Amino acid sequence: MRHVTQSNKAVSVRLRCWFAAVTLACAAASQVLDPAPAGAQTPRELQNEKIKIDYYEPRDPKLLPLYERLQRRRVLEELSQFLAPVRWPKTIRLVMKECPAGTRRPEVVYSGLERSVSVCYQLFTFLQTLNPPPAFASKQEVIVGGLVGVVLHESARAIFDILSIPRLGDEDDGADQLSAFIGLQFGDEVARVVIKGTYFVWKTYDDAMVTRDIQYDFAARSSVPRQRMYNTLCIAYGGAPAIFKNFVDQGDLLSRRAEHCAEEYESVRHAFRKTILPYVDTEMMARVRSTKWIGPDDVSK
Amino acid sequence: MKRLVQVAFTAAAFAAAAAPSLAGELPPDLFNPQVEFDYVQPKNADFAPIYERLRARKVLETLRQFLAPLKLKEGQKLTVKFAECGAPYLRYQGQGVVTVCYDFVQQIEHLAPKAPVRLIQTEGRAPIRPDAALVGPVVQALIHEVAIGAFDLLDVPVWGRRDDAADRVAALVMLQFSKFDLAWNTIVGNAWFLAGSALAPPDLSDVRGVTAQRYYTTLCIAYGGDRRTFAGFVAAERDQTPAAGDLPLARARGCADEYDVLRDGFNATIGPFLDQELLRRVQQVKWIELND
Repeated sequence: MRHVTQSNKAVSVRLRCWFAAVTLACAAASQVLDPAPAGAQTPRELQNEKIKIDYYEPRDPKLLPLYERLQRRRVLEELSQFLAPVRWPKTIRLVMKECPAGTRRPEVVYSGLERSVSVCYQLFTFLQTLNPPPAFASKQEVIVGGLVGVVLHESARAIFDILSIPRLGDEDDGADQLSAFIGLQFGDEVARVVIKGTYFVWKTYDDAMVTRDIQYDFAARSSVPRQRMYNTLCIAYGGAPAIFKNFVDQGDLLSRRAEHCAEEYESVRHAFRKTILPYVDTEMMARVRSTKWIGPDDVSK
Repeated sequence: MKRLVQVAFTAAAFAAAAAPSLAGELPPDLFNPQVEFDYVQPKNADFAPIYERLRARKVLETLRQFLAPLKLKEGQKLTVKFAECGAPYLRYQGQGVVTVCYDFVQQIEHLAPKAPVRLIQTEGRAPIRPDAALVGPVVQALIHEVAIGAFDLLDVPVWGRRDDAADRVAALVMLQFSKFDLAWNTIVGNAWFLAGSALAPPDLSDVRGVTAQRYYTTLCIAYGGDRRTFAGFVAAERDQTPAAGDLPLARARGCADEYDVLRDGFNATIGPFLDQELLRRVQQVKWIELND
C-alpha cells in the first residue's frame, strides 16, 4: 500500500499545461508555436525561495526555439514544485542548458560543486526519439514521464548530497528508489506516467545496447539500464500493485522479483521517513500532493 | 590509512570455513549475549564434512565474540545459522535470523585454489592463499548476513539495494583489520571467489547485484579506504597496462568518495549501536590464523 492515499478532489491542472509544453517542445523545435498557457504561473504557496531557476541561452542556434519555448512554458518552474516542500539548507539551482558533448545520459546532471540540477536541451532530442508501443503508452506519456523521472533521479542525488543523507548502498540505486517513491505520491495518473516513462527510458537505453551488441559495464558505479528498469518497476509495483500489476502479468517484472517488491517498497518508505521526511515541510507537501498534476486528457492526446 | 571506522561487528575472519584455524585463545570476556547461533545438521551427506568442520572450528562461537561491540535493543536477539538451503543464498526471513548456506560454502571450496596464486595485482604483497580464498568469502558472507539482520533489528535506513549495502558494509568492516593483514587476506580471498563465480550468466532482474558488480564494488571500497594496500588492482597505480580483474580507472577515481560516503553512513546509522571500548578491543584481536 502506498505511503499516501490519493485525493480525488484535486483541483489544479497546472501540469496539464506543462505537459503539453514538454511534448511540444520535443517536437521542438518543430517550430510549432503555441501561446503561453494562462495558468502557468507557479502559485506562491508552492514556491521555495531556496530553489533558483535559470535558462541558459544555448550557443547552438538549432536549440534556440526549444530554449524559448521551455522558458516561456516555465517548465523548470513546474518541476521545481516537486522539490518545493524540501527545507533546503542551501540554495539549489535548476538549470536548463546546452551540455557539452559526452555528457552522461540521460542528460540531466546534478553537480554537487554547484548544487545544481541541469537539464540539457539535448535531452529533449532523445525524448523525441522514444517510440513506445501504443498498447504500452502514448508517446506523450513516455516523454513527460521520462523527463520527470530522470529529473527526479538527479534531484534525489541533490537531496542526498545537500541534506547529507546517510547512505549504505549505491547512490544511483538509492536515487532511483527515491525518484520512484516520489513519483508514486502524486496520484495514480502521475504515478503511471512517471513510472512508465522512466521504465521506457531505461528500456530504450537497454534495447540500444543489445541491438548494438554493447557489453554491460559491470565495473561501473551504477547499475546497468536493465537493472534500473527492474528496480524502478519493483518499487512501483511494491507501492501500487493495482496500477502496475500488468507489468508482472506480462512478464516485464519477473514474479520471483515481484513477490518481494512490497518489502523493497517498505524499505524505501522507511528510509524516506527516517532520513528525508524530517527535512520536509509537510504542509506544503500536502498542498503539492493535492494538486492535480496530470489529467486524463493530458495523456490521451 | 584512513581513520578507522567505528565498526561494531567488525573484522576479519571469524572463521575458517575449511582448513584455517582460529588464532589461539580469544579473550573470553568478549562475548555478545544477544547473539545466538545454530549449526543446522544437513540432510545432504555431501554437506556433512562442511558442517563438521565449521562446528569443529567454532566459527559461530567466534562470531559471537567478534560481535561483542554490537548493542541490539533490549530483548532483541540476532541468530546466525549455518544451514542447508537448496541454493547458495537464503533470503532474509526477518526476526533477526540470518543464514549462511552450506551450499554456498561448498561453492567456495570448489573455487579455492590449491596453491598460492600470484597475480599482477598482488605483486609486492602476499599472494592469494588457498586459506584466504576459503576464509574470505565465509567472513564476507557472515558479515553480510549480520548486516542485513542488523539493518532490520536496528531500523537502519538503507538507500540502495539492501544486499549491495550489506556487501559494502562487509567490505568496510573487513577493511578495519589491517593489523594482522586480515583485511588484505579476507578481501582478496573474497575477490577470488567472486571473480570465479562471475562466469555464470548474470541475472539482471535479481534484487542482488550481479557477481561481477559485487567484485568491483568490494575492490572499490577496499581501494577507496586503503589505497596503498589495494593499489595493485588499479593499472595506473602499477604503471602498467590494464589486466583482467583490474578496477577501471573511471571507477577507481571515485572510490575514495564511495568509501567516505559509506563510512559516514555507517557511523551515522550503525555507529550509535556500537560500544566503542569493546570495538577498540575487538580490533586488537587476531581473529584468525591462516595455516598455509
